[in-house]
Amino acid sequence: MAPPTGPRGGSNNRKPTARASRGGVAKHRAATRTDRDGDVSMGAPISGSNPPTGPSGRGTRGRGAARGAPARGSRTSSRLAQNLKNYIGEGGSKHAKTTLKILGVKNSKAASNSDGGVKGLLQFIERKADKDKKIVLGRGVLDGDYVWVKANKDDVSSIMHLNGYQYAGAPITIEETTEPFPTGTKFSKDAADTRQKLLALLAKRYNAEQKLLDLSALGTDDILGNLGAVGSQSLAEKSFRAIIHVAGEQFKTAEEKRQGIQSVSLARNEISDVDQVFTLAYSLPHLRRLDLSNNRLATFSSIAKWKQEFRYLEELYLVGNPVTGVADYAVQITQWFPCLQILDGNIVRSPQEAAEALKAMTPQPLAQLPSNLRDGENNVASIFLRSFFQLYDHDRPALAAQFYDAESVASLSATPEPGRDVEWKPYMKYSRNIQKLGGSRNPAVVQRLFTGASLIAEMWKSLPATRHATLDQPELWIIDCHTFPHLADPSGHGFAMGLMINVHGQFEEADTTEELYGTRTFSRSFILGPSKPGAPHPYRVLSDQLTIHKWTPRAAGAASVPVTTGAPAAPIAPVAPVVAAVPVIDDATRVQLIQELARRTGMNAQYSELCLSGTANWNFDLALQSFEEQRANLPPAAFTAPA
Amino acid sequence: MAFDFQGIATQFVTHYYTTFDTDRKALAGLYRENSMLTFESTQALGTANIAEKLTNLPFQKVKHHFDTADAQPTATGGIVILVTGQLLVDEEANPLKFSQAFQLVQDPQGQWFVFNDIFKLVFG
Repeated sequence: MAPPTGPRGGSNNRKPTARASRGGVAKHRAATRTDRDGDVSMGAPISGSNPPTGPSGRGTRGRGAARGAPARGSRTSSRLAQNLKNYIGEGGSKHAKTTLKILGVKNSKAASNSDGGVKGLLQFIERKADKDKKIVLGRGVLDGDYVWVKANKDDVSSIMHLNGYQYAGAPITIEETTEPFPTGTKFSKDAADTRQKLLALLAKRYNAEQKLLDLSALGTDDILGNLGAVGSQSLAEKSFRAIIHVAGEQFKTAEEKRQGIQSVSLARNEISDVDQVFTLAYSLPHLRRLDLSNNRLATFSSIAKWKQEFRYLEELYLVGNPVTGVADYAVQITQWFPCLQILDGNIVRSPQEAAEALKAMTPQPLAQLPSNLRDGENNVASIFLRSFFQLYDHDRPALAAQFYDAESVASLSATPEPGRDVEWKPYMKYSRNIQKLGGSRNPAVVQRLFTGASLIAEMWKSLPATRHATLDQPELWIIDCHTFPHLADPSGHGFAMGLMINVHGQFEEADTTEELYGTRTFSRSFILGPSKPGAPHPYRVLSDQLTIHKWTPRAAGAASVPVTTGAPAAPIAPVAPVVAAVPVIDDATRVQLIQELARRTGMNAQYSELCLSGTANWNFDLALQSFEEQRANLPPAAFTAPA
Repeated sequence: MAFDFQGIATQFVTHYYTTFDTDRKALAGLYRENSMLTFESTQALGTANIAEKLTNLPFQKVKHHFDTADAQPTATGGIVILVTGQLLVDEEANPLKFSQAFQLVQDPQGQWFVFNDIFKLVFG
């Protein structure tokens, strides 16, 4: 971030100058320069993801400068960098960290220092540990007799050499530990100071009435200047992040923050790419007004990182940036921010348009529409489906004879549940799921495509017996029906119209040989076309694709009632059309839900029932969800069979 | 069967859902002027209408996972494909189940295109 590039330290000069009005108080004489830390400031290319942070930045420092007692200002500002870095939760470097516990400061003369001697001790270690390498320690915390500090793992062996050294008149003992770092409010003095100063800065720059956080011209800010947080690119970016972080902390909830800060000004900060202040978008995604005027944004790409951000931005100011002269500037920027109404003071969208854009952005859940038969006045589809499932459940050979002929094609796919092969075996030998069989070279692909009524009937014979719900329970079905042109007319002349029917529902299954019973969900897609002369019906099934899934109870309360109560009687005998009025959740359904939940979660029946009967109120999905949430808290007894 | 319907279907299904999840505008190329899409019972006829319907679906991000895909050749040289699976939209944690049926046919140049596309959210 280019922004806070004001003169540093004692030479701070806030006098407004003619330059200031040109957009930036802090013009440097030269494009680059090296500050006392060795950090290159201004105009240095920013490596977005990994800017030169404290340690590596300091690594570039000349050996000479690093030796002996470093200049005070230097240490202060690099420490500040470290503090800020700790503050904003950046581990700081790619090196692995470890925790050190250091004993001895209590007995040293430094113990009477305002910080208990922590800072001096750490500086001592940083200075002494390795004569060839710059060691940088983390933020120290005094906890009891120990000073706790994070260090790079690589540096530990050098640091350990200092075991037994005298610091301020007392020997020190250093050990590496895996104990948790003391947390809480024990910020080091530096960090606490920094925090206080940032709070002071925010107090000065926050306007509660306007809900405005004015972070303009940070480079000229006294407080930041005194902190040494300006002048270098990386420091400036870090201090910006720290400011935003501390600002965010002042609000208890995200909503309070959203209400509390609606406008931000980043004017006159010499920003040349929004990447330098990107964090604003994460911290304040609902910002309504943003002032970026008088910066150095020159191209669309210098703003592009924000084009997916600030979805609710209503006002944006970019005047005083070169980008405003780029062709199509207003069009492009308006497009990027869907709710933007005012750009540089000009109206670019009406409130209505913005409201519509906002509405369009809020994803509506996909509505699941009820069945739609569209099969015209003669109800071809509904009549066909009634016959079909009645016959499929009770007399499959008759079904094949009535609606299928030599040209009919049928196939089946299944998605078995892992570890439940036996249950799925009857289907798997016919399943021609492309997903599982792979390419077309697999001979099963052809073998498992059944052409002709007799082959189809043969295949059906070996599938488990079924009971489908009646079509009088529309809540158990999803049916979609379409006219299907482009069918060859069986008379051989031209094309005929057909019907495509997509059915989704569930059935009870009874495999009497394996003694397996269960509920399955299925999708079945038919293409009906005119039949040949002499056929029993005016139309036939040209194509029948059946997909069978494991059963998942429906989430929607009453609709989750299974078709029949309990497992169907076996062997299958013709039965009267089933189930006129099933209570919303009857006992058998409860048992079924309990069993299903037990199977899915591994919990025993007792806990499954508790889970279902609790707040889930027999809603299977809610019960499953609450299981997932509570899983970690469940006692082992939940998963063992009751004694 | 004169053509490798299964291979075509496999390629198509993979291509369709990958494209849908990354850039669904690009699906327009798979349709022709006489193609029809039925998305949750609303119908769109022709490339432009279908592209518009797909592009304006009320979600930004979508991820399909298909569980099954089956294909059959039709008597008129087309391919019918039935796909079932799940889709996740935007930040929704719960996948929605869907079934989608296609009929692919060849245009006079021998290019396969989607003649029918019927999408339905299903339960279970």
